[in-house]
Amino acid sequence: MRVAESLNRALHEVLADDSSVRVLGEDLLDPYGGAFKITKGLSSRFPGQVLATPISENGIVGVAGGLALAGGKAIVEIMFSDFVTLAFDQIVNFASKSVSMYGRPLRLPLIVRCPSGGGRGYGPTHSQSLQKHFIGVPGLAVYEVSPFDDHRELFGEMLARGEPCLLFEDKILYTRQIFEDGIADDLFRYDVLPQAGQVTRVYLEDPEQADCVIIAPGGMAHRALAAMRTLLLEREITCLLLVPRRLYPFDVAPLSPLLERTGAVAVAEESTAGGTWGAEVAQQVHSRLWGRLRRPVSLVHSAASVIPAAAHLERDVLVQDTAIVRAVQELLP
Amino acid sequence: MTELRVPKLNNNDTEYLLVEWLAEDGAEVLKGDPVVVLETSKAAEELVAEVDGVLRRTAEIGATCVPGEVIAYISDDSAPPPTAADREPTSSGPVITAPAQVLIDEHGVDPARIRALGKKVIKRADVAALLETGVDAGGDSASSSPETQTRPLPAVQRAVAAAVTRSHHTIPAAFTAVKLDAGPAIARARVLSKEARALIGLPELLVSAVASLHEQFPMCFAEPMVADGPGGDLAVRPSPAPNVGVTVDVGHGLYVPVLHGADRLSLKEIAQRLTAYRTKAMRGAFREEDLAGGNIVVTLHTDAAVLLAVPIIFPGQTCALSLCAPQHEVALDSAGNIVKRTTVTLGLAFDHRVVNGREAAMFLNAVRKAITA
Repeated sequence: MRVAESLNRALHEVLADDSSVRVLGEDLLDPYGGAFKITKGLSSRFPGQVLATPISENGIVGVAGGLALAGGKAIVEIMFSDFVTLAFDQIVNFASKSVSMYGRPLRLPLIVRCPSGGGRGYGPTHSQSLQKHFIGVPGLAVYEVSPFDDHRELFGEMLARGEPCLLFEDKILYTRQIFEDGIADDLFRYDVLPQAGQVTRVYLEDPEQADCVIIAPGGMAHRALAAMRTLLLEREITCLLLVPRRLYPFDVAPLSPLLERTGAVAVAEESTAGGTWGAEVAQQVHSRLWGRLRRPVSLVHSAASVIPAAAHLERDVLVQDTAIVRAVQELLP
Repeated sequence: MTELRVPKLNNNDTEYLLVEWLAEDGAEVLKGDPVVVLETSKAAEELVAEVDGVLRRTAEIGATCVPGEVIAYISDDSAPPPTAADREPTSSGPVITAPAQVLIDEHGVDPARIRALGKKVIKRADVAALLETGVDAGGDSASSSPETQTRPLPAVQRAVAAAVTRSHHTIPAAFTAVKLDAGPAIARARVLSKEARALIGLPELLVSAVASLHEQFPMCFAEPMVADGPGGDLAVRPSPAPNVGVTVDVGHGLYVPVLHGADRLSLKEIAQRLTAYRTKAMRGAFREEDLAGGNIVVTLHTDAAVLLAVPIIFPGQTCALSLCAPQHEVALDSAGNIVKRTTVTLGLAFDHRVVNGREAAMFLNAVRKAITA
């Protein structure tokens, strides 16, 4: 099953299970079913729960936030995550504060879905990974879709938090198959660490035996796997990949034993350089494991540049598997 | 027996979904019949049979297929379709790391011994341990380190290779070039671009100029052929309309899409179609009809340092032109004053069996005039 289909199924189940859930967004009525078809079929099956809106991200998220605060549950689709900045005020100044600033905790079950990332030649305004701008906002959780995840469970977890969540969905995943039965490919297997907040752990044969740990969100999974294959076959370097389901809040403590064992950690993400999620993770790793690290945590991210539309220029800017290979090699000279 | 392979349908996806077979397994299909529907992340695309014959499917509905993969065979029933056993890789042996492979090659280790280790991944240490337990007798420390292993060319480049090799073997080509004072033409193109609201430059002017000379120089657009089968006399088949191929290479390989009936196209239309072709090249979205039916080629050499380029004549054609990058130079005007001017080199490679130097020069000069007019 492809990731797009898996997300679509999950949304169908969410709406069927809970009639208080509303889905809002642009162009998501059938037969179009959203720009990436993630909301396909929802409006036909649940006409009362799906609301197509004008192009007004600020308005959509405002309505959804109000709806969630008033006892409903809301899932918003931002057609391209680049435009979530238009709703920044509603997310940061209204929704995330409302859960705590009225003197008693209030529930605000809201998910803002953000198709993000480049690699498809959509240019500077439709290719960004803006996760980093939402890291560290009190009352706001940031998630990222991964091909290892159970997406029904993921939506359930986010709605159950009772506070606003952003869900970044790397567009390149939509057409990829989801991984099943603990098998990533012919070389690598995976399992999930529930105690670490559902972090997926991808390993060669024995998760306890690795030379280096790569921490990367779901959109990077295929690039990380490609890098791990190259490192293994060319240099006999074995990596352990950790894919967190929730990017923020993120607690590195349960992962410490794994990180400590190798003493070599790289964080990979597609956000552009500077003030990134990876830097936040690295800071936590340094604070906990200083003295047991062989080298400072390596950060892999896209260049500090707008994202070009031309494929060959875009490649130069965005993180490729080769960048992860380089970073790991530098950690293990 | 013809393979039905999954083409590269777009640049977004690395794999497609097989959503529907339009012809039954074992059905007779005719060339051009749609047989299967593949779904990309954006669209559904039909593939057609390239030959007449009996369809033998090798992939199921719902299968994920990647560009280049064979999903069916179309046979004339003279040969049985390959069985699953033929298609499977011969053995799914262990994955061997490069350092391990070097050691294996150095010592000529028997692959059976490697397989016998029963490991998923063979590392250098595994091979070293194997060697300690007894070196293979007579193992000659031969060759193929990973650096020297051959790598296959991509499909587009293999097609280019086949065409240029055939051209080189079969077409006795000659080459003539002229220098063109491009300043006025570039200025004119700039004005035309504004009027037409389309990007018109020297390439567009050249395509238009070449097309306009179709009637005047029919031999330059003709198809050379051997009459009465192999060994017969050389003959030419004139072409009814100028179909001008233009080289496009945006980094994914060389394509020569064709502007059909280019003499009937305005400069604006030529510019629009070339732009559309460049977009298709970016996406790898060319259709067969975009690339077929050309009878002359214009090759563009836009790298600023290229002074002169000798194009390869496409098999089945007589002429190929090359347009090189504008160069700035100092020249003397009619009054003897020093002036700055911009020139380009315009080259013509021609099949000397059917076109002679005099006609080539006349054709080139006529093109030059038409551009600078």
